[in-house]
Parts: sequence; C-alpha cells; structure tokens
Amino acid sequence: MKRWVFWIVGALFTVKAGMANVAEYQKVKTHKLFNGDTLQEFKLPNGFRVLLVPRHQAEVLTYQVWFDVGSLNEKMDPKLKKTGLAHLFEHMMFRGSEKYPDGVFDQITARLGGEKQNATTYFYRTNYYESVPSDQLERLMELESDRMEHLKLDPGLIEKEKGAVVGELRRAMDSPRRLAWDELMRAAYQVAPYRYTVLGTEEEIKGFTLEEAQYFYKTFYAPNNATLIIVGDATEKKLMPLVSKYYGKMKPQKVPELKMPAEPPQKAERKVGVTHKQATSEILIVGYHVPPIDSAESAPLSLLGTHLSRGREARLRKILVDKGIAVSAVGGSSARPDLFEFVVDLAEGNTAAAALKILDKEIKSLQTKPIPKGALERAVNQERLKLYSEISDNSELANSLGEFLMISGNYLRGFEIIQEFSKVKPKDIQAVAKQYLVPKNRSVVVVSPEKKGG
Amino acid sequence: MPKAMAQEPTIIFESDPTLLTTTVRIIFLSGTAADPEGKGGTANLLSELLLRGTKKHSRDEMQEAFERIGSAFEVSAAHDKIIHHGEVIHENTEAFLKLVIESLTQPAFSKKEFESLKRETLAEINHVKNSNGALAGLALRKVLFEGTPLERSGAGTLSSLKRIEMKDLKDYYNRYYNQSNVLFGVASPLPEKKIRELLMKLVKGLPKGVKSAPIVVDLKLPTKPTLVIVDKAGTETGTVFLGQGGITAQDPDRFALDVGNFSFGGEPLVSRLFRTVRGELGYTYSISSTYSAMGALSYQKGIYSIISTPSIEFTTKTIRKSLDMWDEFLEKGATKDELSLAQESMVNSYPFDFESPDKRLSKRLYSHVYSTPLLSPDQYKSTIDAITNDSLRKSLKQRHTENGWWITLVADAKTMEKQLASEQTGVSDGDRLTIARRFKPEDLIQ
Repeated sequence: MKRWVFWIVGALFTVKAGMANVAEYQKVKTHKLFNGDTLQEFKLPNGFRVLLVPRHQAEVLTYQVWFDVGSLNEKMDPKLKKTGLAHLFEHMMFRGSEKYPDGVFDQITARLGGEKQNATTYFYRTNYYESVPSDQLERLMELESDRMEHLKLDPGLIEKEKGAVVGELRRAMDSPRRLAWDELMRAAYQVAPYRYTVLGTEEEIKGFTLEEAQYFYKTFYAPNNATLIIVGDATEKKLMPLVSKYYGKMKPQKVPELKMPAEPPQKAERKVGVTHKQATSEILIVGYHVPPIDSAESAPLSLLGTHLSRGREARLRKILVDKGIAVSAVGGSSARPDLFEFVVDLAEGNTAAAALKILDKEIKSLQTKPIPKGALERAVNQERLKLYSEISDNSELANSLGEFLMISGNYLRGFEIIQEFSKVKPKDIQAVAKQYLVPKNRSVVVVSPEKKGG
Repeated sequence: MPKAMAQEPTIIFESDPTLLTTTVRIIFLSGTAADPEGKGGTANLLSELLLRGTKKHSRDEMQEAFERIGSAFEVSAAHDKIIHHGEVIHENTEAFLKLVIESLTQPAFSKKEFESLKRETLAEINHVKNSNGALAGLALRKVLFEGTPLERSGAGTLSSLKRIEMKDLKDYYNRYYNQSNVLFGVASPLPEKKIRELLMKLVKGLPKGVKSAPIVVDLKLPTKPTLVIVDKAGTETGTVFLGQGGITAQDPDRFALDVGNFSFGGEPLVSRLFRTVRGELGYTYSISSTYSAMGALSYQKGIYSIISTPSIEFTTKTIRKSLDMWDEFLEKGATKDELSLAQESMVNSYPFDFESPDKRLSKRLYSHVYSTPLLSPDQYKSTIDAITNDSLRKSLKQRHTENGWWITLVADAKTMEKQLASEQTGVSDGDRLTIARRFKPEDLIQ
C-alpha cells in the first residue's frame, strides 16, 4: 500500500508583504501533501493564522474563517456562564456593520457569485465559509475582515434574530433523534460543559443582552483567535499582501484560556429513558468514553468505526438492518466530545433493549477475537476512498483542515491518522474494543414514542 | 437469453490525470414512474436487488470484493431513471468495473435476498412517519399527482410493496435494462479507450431492446389555496409546503423563472421571502422556494414549492404572508435591484458548475438525458442578462397561478384549528384558509 508522507520543505522566516504600509507576515511551514498539493501556513504579527492550498484547475476558491470559540467557551466564561450566545452571534455576523448595513454583506457576496455561503457553531469552534470566483478574492476579504472588526450590534436586530434562533431550536426539539443526542451528552458528562446544548435554551436565547454580545465579540473574534483557510486559485504572492492589508491592523486580544473542568472517570453504566411525542419507533444511542484524537488509539478506534459502519458489508448493517430490526445503525468515534457512539434507529415494533443485546454480542465478539485481515483491509481501503474523494474538493479539504485544527491544534491530524492506519493490526482493534467498549464506561439512552392517551 | 450484437454505447467521459479516484454513473432511462400498476416500488426494489448477488457470487462475496478494493457501488431510483453510481481508488478501476459488469448483467435474483430487501424497505417506508419534512412532501405529491404513478414515493407504499413479486422485478429488468436504454458517465485519470473497452463488455451483456419514452402526467391544481393537514400531536413547529405546477427541463421560460425564483425565495439570505419572513418578522428559521422539489428538472412538469418551518404560533401568519408575497411577486415581478442581483450572482457562480471533473460530468449527463443545451459561460451570461422584468412577469403569468396552491402542513391539528380561527377573523369567507383535507401520517404510506 502507498505510504503517506508529508515533507516539511519550508521553515520559519519573515516576509515583507509586497504593499506599502502593511504588516509583515511569517511563513511558518510548507507541507507537501500526498496528492501533490502544497499546504502553506502563514502568521501575521497579531497572531492571525492563514492556511493556503493553491489549486489552479478552476478559477474559483474556497474562503473559510475559523474562530477558536464555541459553546464550551461561553459556558466556562465567568462573565457569561450560559450557552447559546456563540450560536446567536454566528447569526448576528450576517446582520451588518457600520459600513455595510444589515443585508448588504449577503447581497454583495451573492453578487460576487458566492456559493455554499453559510456558518456553523459547535462546542469548540465557529466557522464562516463561502466559495467565490478567484478574481473576487479582495472584495470578499474586505467584507469578511470588515464584519470581523466592525460588526454593528444593533439591539433591534438582535431581538429579531433571537426569533429565528428560537425557530431553529424549536425545529430541533421536534426531532426525536436530537433529544436522544442531548440526553446522551447530559448522561455521559456530569461536569464537562458538553452536557449543555450548543443552541442553548429558549430562556437563555431570549435573555441575552447587548452587553454580553459586545463582550463576546470583542473577546473571541480577535485575530489571534482566528484562522483563514483558502483552498483554490490563489498564490502566496497574491494572497498575503491582501491578508496583511485587511487583517494586519486588527488588535490582538487577551482570549481567556478554556479551562475545562476534569470529567470524573465513569465508574458505572448510566441509563436514560425518555419519550418524545413525535417518535413512532424507538431510538437507541450509546456513548463510550474514548481518548482524544491525538492519542495513538485514534487510528484503531477510527477503523473500528469504519468496520462497523461504512459500506454494505458494515457489521452493524448486517446484524441490525439486514435482519429488519433497525432502519439504520452506525457506530464510530467522535472528537470533542471524545466518545465512541452507536446510533440505532429501530424499525417499528422492535425494541432498543433487543438491539442493545445484539450490539453487546457483537462487541463481545470484537473483544474476544481479532477481526479478519480481509475486514481490516476493507476498512483501510474504505478510509482511503473517503479521503481521496474528499481531498479533491476545495471546500471539503478546507473543512478537514479547519476541523482538525480546532479539535487538536494540528490541521494535519486527519492525514496523520490515515498514515497510522497502515500500521494498525487486527489485535489493535481488539485491544481498543476490550479497553473502551465496556458497560461501566458507557451511557445508554433510549427514546420511545409516547403511549397513546398517555 | 441470447444477446444481440452490441451497439456503440453513449459514454460521457471526463479525463483528468490528477484524479485519485474513478467515478462511474450508469443511467437506465426508466424509473419508478414505470412501475407496474398497483406495484409501486418495483424499480426501487429491482435496482437494489442488483447489488445483492450474481449467478456466480453471493451478496456477501460481491460486496466484500467491492469494498475491499476501496470502492463503493450504490444505486438510486428516480421517477424517470435509475442511476447506478460508484467510485473507486484509481488503481483498482479495472477490477471495479468487472464487478459492476457482473452485478448488472448476471443478477442472481435470489429469493432470500428479495424477501430480506422487501422487509427492510417496508421498515424504511414505515420510518418516514418520523420525518415531518418527508411527510409534508408526500402529502403534496399525493394531492398534486393523485391517481398517477407519481402520487407516491419511489419506494412505494406498504400495500403496493406487499403486492410485488420476483416476477415483477425480472420483467422490469428484462424490459428496461437494455443497450438502447443506457448511458454512461465516467470521470477518471485512466485513458478513455481503456474505460470504453471495459464498458463495452457491460453493453454486450445486455439485450439490444428499445429506448424508453419518458412518462409524463398532468398535475391536479385547486382553484383556490387549499390547506391539507397531516396531523402530528405536540409539534413545536409547523412544516409547510406550498406547491403548484412547476416547469420542465426544456421549458423556454426556464432561465427567466430561475432568475425570478432566485429573487423571490431561491437564494438563501438574500431572497425576498428570507429577508421578510425570517429577517424582518422572525416567524421561521428557514423559508425558501424551489422548482426542484422533485429533484432535477426533467421531461415531467415538476412542482414549484415554498417550504418553511415556522414556530407553531407563527404557522398561519407564515402561510398567509407567503401567499400575499407570491401574489405581489406574480403581479409585479422583481425590483430592479433584485433582478440585477440575481443576474449578477447567477452569472458569476456559473463557473462552479464546471469546477471539477465530477461536476462537469453531471452537467454533460444532464444535458444529454434531457436534451438541454450546454451553455458556455458567455452564452449563459447573454441568456441571463437578456431577461428583463417584463419578460419575467410574462413568464410568471404563463407558467404560474395566483390561487392554485396546495398547502400541506405537518402540525398538531387541534392547535392549528384554533389558530386558523383566531387569526383569520377579519378575512372574508372566500379568502379564509380552512383545513380541506386531513391525513394521519400512516395514511401517506399505506
């Protein structure tokens, strides 16, 4: 099998941007990716980080800005201590600045031909993204940097946007699957703020004040807390002078370090049963605590997830879906929160209890004997296919770099794990199943339909 | 069955030596609308059964072989076509295509797999009751296409599925899986000649047959906005689909209507619906309009729909506001600013349709299947720039109606009855929305 190699061909040095009165920037590293792409990392003196992957096959580029802030930060911040503002704030970033009032940003980016324009918020990060024709790079950068520095927090618009966010929350509440996920987080984390939802509660959303929004913006939307990722038709020569011009003058801020309370080790199985008015069949979600993504066990845990879930030969499909017990069944590890999760949507008339027994039997088998070599080969090649497919798309490559940077501080971590796959043996998968997929380390949530008349 | 002499297949090929994978699409030009009467779901079952074993190898052997070489091979059945699509890491392209050929030309038609597949599909159909969006869409199809093959989902219903026998699948296969009814799309780093040779083997394994004609049915529209409710107790939101007749892929007004739809509700963040109903009024998290509620435009006249998910207390307001805004749009069209925004945005984003070999492939396949012109960026620009508000209004009047809306709503019926009564006190009897038809979720899948 092809070996995955990255060559560091650059070193830290300083470059004068080719434009008068603009800041210098540092070229931190250059990596050669396995597919031939070059990945360059730059940094401005104010701490603003830039990742660039030049690709010139088409005259388009993906532009993403990632902020190292999510709902965990606001919950742990002594001035906020609640969740939902990070997400509400993501909405407010589309509601105008002094220079470009409400709606104008969207209109201009639409005129530029912006595709896939949106933003998302999660526990540990917030990102804003769009793709544009490459000749519109400077115009887009002017707009993006403007809202990062000069957002106008209008109290009337904040109130209006709260209505849309409550609508989003209500829509989520209509989903039994969403309830199951929220309950799993509450059960698996007794202390860590993963137990609080990213969207917050309706009461929290409606209660946010202008002062809280201003504090959040000033503190967390700072250049030293942000990364710009560009994949597409751009070069260092073209990009970095613009970055220096538009982002270079921003002042760094003292961003509070996220101090997560230590989650006490789980010592016994936790079980939760809830009902949902709109559920018509049961949902089973099981979460096991696993090590973080920079651990050596990430690779075997990832391959275990692939073995169980990906493709038509996936074990969970065979033992649950093909037998008519479930409509869908998947399992795999996630990072931040670090859980190995099983999600099973039961077919009507089947019970989560019966599905859990089948799941336990499969886990027992994984712990007792190593998976066949052919099954491991299948899992590794399925991961290669996924990577090959994703890396060819500008947006997906940018997503991968951003997500791994925010999760682990290492944007190449996703590629490194793929490298590590070639060293994984069946016994390694057996070992992680033995160590982590044990009842005392798990939380089990069952969502059931409400009884009629109940 | 003896196979006829193979005819030269239509292969749309995108070559790119930098690609790490080969993607393949094999399109048979008949779909779920061609299901035998009363046996909706036949095409869907057949297409899936073809992935479950051959005369030489069991389902497990085939699937393991596909996945072990780093490939995935899937299928989807639309109303007018079945698409077998797959991707493989490039060095295993030949091995992958051999497996594809075996799957499609030597199906096992295993009884055991057939029964298992039926059981799984019945469970999936049942599970649709959990999705409010899917239920609203099903209700809309049911009223718009009542009495036609398009009134149900492509997967069929619980009752139609139970009527399907193995013989129906074999008949469908023998009739529609033929040389005249297939075309191929491939994006690969490998030479086209090599791919063509391999695909010829597939073609040779199929009978010559005849090309299917598209199946087209009429839509049934009401004379006034007509509310249909799918009752789900305790919903926090209403899931609202407003639907009326749409357009075909070949419609000469298509570009004008695309521009108009961009302005009215098609483009998130900047459309009139979004800015007003979400941005100004805060009734709903999402609201949009589309000509593609049934998937890509085709020979069949599709559905034009406005889709929203307001908080339950704003559901009536959202419906009424959407209707009022439509009336105004139909009458006046877009403003000068809206029109120029739509034109500039559509022209500037057009290159994204061609940014990767896979996207170029999609574009070319679509053009071939639906006989639509493949416009260069310059041609597209001149077409879009030529649209004026007068031409847009003319197109809107020709293709659309002010009142012929079906409104399907998934929500708590008791809550909605009270809300409709309390919020329409000043509305005249003729304009008042009342619940004209009711479904339970299970009615839509029976």
